[in-house]
Amino acid sequence: MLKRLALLALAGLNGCGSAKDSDSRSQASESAEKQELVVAVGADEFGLQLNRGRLGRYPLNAGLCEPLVRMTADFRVAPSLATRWAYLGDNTYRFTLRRGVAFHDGSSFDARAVTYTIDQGIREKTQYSFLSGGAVRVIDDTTVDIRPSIPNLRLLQQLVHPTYGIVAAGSDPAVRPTCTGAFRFAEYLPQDRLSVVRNEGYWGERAKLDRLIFRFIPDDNTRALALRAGEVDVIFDVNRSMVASLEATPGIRVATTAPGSVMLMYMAIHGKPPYVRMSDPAIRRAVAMAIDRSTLVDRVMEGRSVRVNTVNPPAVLGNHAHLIHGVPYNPEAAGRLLESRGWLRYGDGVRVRNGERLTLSMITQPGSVDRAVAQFIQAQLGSVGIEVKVSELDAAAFESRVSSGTFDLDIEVPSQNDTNPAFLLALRWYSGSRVRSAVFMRAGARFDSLVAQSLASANHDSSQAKAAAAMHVLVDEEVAAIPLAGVYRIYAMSSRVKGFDPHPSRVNQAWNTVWIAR
Amino acid sequence: MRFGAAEYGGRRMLSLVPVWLGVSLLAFSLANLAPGDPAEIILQRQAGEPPTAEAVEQLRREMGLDAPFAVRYGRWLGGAVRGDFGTSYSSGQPVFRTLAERLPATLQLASGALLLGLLIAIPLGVVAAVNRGNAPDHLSRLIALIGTSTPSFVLGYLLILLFAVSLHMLPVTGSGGWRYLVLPVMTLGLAEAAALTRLTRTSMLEVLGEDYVRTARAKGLPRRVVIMRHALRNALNPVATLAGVRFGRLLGGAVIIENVFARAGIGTTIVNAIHDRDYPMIQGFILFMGTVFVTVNLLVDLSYVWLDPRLRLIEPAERPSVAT
Repeated sequence: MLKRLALLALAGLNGCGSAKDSDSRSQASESAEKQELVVAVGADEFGLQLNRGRLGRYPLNAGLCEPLVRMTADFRVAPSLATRWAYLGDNTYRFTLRRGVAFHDGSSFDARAVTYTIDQGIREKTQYSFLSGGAVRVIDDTTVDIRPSIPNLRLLQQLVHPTYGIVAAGSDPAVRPTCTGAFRFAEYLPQDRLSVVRNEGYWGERAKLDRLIFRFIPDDNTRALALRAGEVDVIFDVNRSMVASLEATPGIRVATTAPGSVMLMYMAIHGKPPYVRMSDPAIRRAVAMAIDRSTLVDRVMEGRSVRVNTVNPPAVLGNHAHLIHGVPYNPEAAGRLLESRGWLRYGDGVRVRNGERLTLSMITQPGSVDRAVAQFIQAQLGSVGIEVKVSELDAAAFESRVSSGTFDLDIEVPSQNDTNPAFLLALRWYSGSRVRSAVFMRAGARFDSLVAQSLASANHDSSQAKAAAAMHVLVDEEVAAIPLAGVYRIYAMSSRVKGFDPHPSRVNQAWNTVWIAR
Repeated sequence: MRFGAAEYGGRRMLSLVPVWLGVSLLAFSLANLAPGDPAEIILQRQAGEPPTAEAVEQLRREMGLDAPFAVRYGRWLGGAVRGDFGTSYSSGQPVFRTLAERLPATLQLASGALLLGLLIAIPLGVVAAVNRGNAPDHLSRLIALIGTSTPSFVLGYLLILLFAVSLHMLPVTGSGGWRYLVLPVMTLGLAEAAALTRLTRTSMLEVLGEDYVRTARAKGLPRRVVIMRHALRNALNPVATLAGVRFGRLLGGAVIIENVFARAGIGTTIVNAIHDRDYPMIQGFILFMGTVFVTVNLLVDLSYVWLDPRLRLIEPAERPSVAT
């Protein structure tokens, strides 16, 4: 009897519909004909006031809007809504705009829209390229000059960022983004989904999908389970620990990219007392020599990262990445170096000098750095007599510590979302940086000079060369930062999903080539 | 002499005022004492890079964060008593509106879980008690033990694996219909059932040993009547107390399950607010939850009068109550 009741209950539940008839796939028959892709992404960040005006552009790029120039998967600048550009001198770039492009509402794309978009970003303080009111000068309908408020010859490389996606003049992108992209806005349900549909009038290669739905699923495990249940077709930001089981699941494949970011160890070279240990170059070098980055990549990160010596993804430096060598793993030499500075090992194995233990404070954010990585580094440094106290902090507490210089070591994974080779260098270690934390990390006069040259170079190759030289000083000479591992994006998807070309910068991922095989 | 529930309720309501003020001070202090600067976080997110010192100071002035603690508390409390909990730093929306928008999803979840918990716990607890020491009793205790010791998120994943991945019967995530509620409610409800089953069993065992139950049996009343009418009703007082307390906990503590099932409820909202150091939202939430707790406890106290007719004859001050 009980068994029959249970079966009836199960049949009843089943009869009410399967998981696949959720709102996103409401009609099975319709779904069979239509190309509808459901992508599970992390938490919805458009609820934040500062992101509201960037709906569908950043931090989730839904293919609605396009900037003047775009970033290729090998970190190069390519034409998008601008077909040509030139540096005119006097800190000014001239862009020739693409003709015959229409916004989603049918209006024509022209110079007025560029002015409107840039001005809107300035008003909302969502742009960082030193642009201020009046930065854009309209020459004619298809020509604009852009001039930052302070010298900035990396403007072109910065404009690839999706936050500079052009919106129609007079439109309100916070409510209904009206742009020129391969998809147009359909629906946004906060914390639930963002839906876009194909733009039939797209100027470029028309999207193969009829509809693209981004579902906000913050939990890593749930995203993977939703993929296995067939509720979604693609998942973003797959946790490394899940890759093996997803790869083993029939009907699911995993796609990876070239490194889009680098897991870095920052050092507070000029930290506030008592965080002053890293001011000693010998300790910095010993720390770098004590970390076996190959084991970190192969074992701790389960081979799902790559060994790099640069602080940016190597591709950003073009042909110059080889200039940075990285400090080789040599724990014996690390020990000798510390001993030569008077740090000797006693009872519990931690080195002591003048009664002071060699203890370092390392801060991490569990959301971005696996606990295993921190534990591995703690163990490695422990093996040469450096005691490491790890503090796992949430974003606010972490930022507070970084910006006040109250740490010795800090592990972060900054993303490279534009093609500026000096982006991170100028931000974190350059004395000309206006960010609060830079004062605790400044890497010296030679480094500053090279970064300044990179920023001031009108030629991209020359800029890359100078950035690489600055990075060599930073990593190999001053040892002010340690590139721990090149981190690549991991996507998992149904094997029916075709044409997906994973981009190392998630915010630059394109969707118009994707389709679903029947 | 009989005392009305209205009079009793009125007295209890008045006693809640100092509790509410204490909660408000605690809420404000906790939010403001946490390390991390909301101005810095906002600017960091805005530009995607660490902000300048000048920008942080300017924004702190704009947000009124440069005023002394007491001044800020006074301003906030003044607004709160008028129903204005301030504006969220993160979303720019009024806190009250955000809480009101998010509450229904969490309320559905918490109510469903509590209902499911009671539906399982009361029969199971009664069966266990009347069969003390026998197989049904052992089984109920085993179920309660498993339910109590299994973390809710693990249970959530297991249920997803079974019902969504393997059987394709229910959706993993989403909202909009009852089907989306089944798995999260089951996840939370089974844990509730475990705790409530144990208490129901204990309470029933206590009541079954009372003289009036023995008298009822001696009168030759059917077993079902003795258990349902004489024993169970009296055994439900502590169960109601616990259910009330747990309902408040469910509202505030559903965050893990909301996260697992991607439900946009109040728990997810508050966890994000804590990460963002969104002081107005944190303060508003704590004050709101404090109000919910004391109100639920008040209702539980009032329910005693309905559950146990003897209490209608006792002076209100001498009635048992849930500590607030």
